Amino acid sequence: MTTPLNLRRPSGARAFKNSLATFGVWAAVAIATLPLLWILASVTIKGAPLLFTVGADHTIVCVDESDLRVPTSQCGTEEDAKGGTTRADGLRWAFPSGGKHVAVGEKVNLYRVDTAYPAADHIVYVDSDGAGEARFFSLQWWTSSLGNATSKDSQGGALQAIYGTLLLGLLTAAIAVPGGMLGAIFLVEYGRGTRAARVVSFMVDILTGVPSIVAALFVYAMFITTFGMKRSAIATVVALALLMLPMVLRSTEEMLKLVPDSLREAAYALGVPKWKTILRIVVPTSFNGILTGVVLGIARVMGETAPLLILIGYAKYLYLDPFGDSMGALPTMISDGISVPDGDAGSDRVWAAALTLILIVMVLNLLARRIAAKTKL
Amino acid sequence: MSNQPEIQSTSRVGDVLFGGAAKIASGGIVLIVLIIGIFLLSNAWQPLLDNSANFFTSTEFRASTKPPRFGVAALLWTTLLTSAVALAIAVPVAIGLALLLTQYVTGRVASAIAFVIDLLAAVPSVIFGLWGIKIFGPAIQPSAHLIENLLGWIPLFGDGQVASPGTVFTASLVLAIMILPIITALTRDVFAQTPRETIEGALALGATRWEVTRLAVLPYGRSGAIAAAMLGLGRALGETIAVMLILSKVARFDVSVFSGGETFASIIARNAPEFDTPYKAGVYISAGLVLFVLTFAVNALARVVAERGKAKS
Amino acid sequence: MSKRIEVRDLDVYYGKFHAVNQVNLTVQPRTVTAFIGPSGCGKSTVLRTLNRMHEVIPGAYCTGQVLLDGTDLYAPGVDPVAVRRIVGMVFQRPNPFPSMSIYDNVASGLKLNGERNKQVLDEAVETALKGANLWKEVKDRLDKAGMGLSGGQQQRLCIARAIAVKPEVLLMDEPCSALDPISTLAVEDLIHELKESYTVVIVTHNMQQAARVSDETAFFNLKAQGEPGHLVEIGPTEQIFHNPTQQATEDYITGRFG
Repeated sequence: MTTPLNLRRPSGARAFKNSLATFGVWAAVAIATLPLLWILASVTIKGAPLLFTVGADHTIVCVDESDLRVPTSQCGTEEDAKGGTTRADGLRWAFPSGGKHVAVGEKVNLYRVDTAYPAADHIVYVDSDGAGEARFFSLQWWTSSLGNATSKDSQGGALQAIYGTLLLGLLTAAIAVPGGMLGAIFLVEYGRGTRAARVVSFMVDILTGVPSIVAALFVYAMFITTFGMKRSAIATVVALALLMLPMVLRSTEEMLKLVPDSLREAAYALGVPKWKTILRIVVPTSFNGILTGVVLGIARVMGETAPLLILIGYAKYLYLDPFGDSMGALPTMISDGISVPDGDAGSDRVWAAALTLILIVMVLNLLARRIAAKTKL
Repeated sequence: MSNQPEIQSTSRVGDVLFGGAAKIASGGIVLIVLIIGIFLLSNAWQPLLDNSANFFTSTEFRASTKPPRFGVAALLWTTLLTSAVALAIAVPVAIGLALLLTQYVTGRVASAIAFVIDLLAAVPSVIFGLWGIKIFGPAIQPSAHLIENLLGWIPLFGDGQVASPGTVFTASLVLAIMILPIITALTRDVFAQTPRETIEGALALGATRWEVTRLAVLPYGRSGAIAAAMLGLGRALGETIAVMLILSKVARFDVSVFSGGETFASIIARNAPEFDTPYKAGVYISAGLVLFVLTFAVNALARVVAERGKAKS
Repeated sequence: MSKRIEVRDLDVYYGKFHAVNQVNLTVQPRTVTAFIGPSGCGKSTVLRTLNRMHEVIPGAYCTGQVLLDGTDLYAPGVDPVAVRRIVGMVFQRPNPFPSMSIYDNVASGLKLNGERNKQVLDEAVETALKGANLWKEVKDRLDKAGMGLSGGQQQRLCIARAIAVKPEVLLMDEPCSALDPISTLAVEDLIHELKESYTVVIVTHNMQQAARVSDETAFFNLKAQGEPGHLVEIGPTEQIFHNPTQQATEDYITGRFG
């Protein structure tokens, strides 16, 4: 009478579709993860050496087959050496050994690199073709500006660009944070449910969607064409603030909405006026959440490039004045140097600038996560 | 009794000041959007009147000739093509990720994957451009050539006469990666709101995980996912620096994805050093105006779709 | 069409939390068995282990056996999806698929099983809707959205959806708690008819309802908040309500707690 129950996994088309979907969603993870790892890896590998080292005025040392040193005049030119007698395949890093000479590969028999700085912290950077360049530890990248270094010079830092990026980020926040917070306070505390709030909210959505290049053109059309001002960091900041404002506003709005109404009512019941309630109770309660949004917003605008291309000249020297017509910044340092051929020192600097920018942005993002984790709401 | 009015009046002054500031800030936002349109139009007006080419059909873009000759046909094509290809790739992947995060994994695995996507969103676009043209582009050249050889007879996949990896193809793929996080985040929020009851209803019928998705999650989140895709499209249309760094300039316009070209955003950014007179700048501002209108329309539509989806459920 | 359920030494856990302790009970075919008890006593949890729906919650698992005519639902190799195919379930809130018509809602389970024949589907939909006492009310608007029906109609639609796939057992998790009295009456009448062909297990908060619809009643209780729930006793409804063997049951039935 009892028919045996079949409780096995469904087979055939249904099982196949289910497995296909499972495969698909995991493939999506791979598709998203791969580029991130690829970007981080290439920027780190190509950019990291410059961040802590600098090219030395290195000496080429020639040795013969039996490893004895011969005068430089007898060993031909550096170009000859690159021509094939050297081998350092696969070896990208080597450390000084013995303090004087540096082995860059087993089969190196004619051309060697001497750092001329025999201290143990010297690092020798060896290209895959065996052409060597001595590097030693230095924080020059962080402490000096690029200055007059040409694309073949390995000297020179990025101070002017780091300064510019940080300054632009902070000045932008100085405008966008009060504006965005006030807008959010209007939407949540004063205008909730009104027609005005809906119009503002719609416009914020539109402003969120305005491409950075359009915001930049608008500032150009208004400040430079119409008011006759010059390009400057300040003009750039205005354009960046237009981009950051909706970000701060939305994140603040979300946080204010999370503050329970009972808290507001408790304050009103004590006779505290509305504006004081907002300033003393509502905003402090959601402070961590608002700060998270602000930090993320700063990270975002620091990576913006388009407004900088239009509203400010790129400078290789350190200019401190935000009203001057040019200033370095990491994004423009990258776009400025992108056409330098691979292998030249200038091309390494592009990657180092990219790594620096990514480091700043990632640190800010991690900071934001930390703050968000501490939120009281 | 006598001091009551005083208390009231101080609190009112504070509220008027503070509430007023909040209102002004909000009014300013509305004003900014209107002013952007007005200023762009007024700056582009004179060059548009003098233009000796047809603004909508010409593929030329010359600001220096007198009178200037410029049209947006080529820009429009390249902009739409890069964005469309990017969207076609990013949307399925984003939906897959959103489904994974809401239906397939929970806890630590989910937050680790969400973290990866957050990091991807944090990468500045200039770095996407640098990586795209120096690393990613050369790496995908062989597959680009393969497609070109197989499908070259279709004009869309024809030989674009570009030797470098700086093609629309490369730019589209990089754009797809760039808009992936935003579409994923928005879609995931919608999928996460699928009512538990509906999901359990499907499960109780003996639905497999995929069938639950198809019966309960996808129908519920459809309009939200469409809105998310449109917001992603808005991003792709306006993306500037990554596209500018990747796309190579071409002498003659070509519809192929293996050609180079300029989008609205990239042509403006690339020629920024040429903005020596307001008049010349105005020529490029006219392109910016079209881009503004385009993104405005896409974003407004996305909002309408999202609102309608909310109203329905 | 209907099977005997035997639960042996069942323990349910949510992660580290021990939700249900040592349940043993038997449900006879073609009867209605009601699970009653105070909130948190694990009656819904036990119900959900009968078609492995508790596994939807991350970290939930159980030990022991649930036998359906002698086949263990938790034996290795048993697929929860296959279990739910033969043990249908109706929930607290009516949950028709929002994007589907009335017809598609009822047919959804059959379509999942690969049934594509229009005639077969039409017949099955009609039978299921008649079985759920809904056919007369909706037969002229089968292509309208299922969400457009009233709450009670939606719940009967969900019952129709569950019985369309001809399950062996029908589980009901407080099916009337979101309904008004008239809709409740319609669903209770339906439950009476369903036991002609199905084994029905129903969880209810409402003791009058348990008394009205069930043949057997199982009373669950918990010693204290945070303690696992357990089965106090199970027996014919008549006996549980009028002559319970346990003091706790009597206290609960007479409204002294819970």
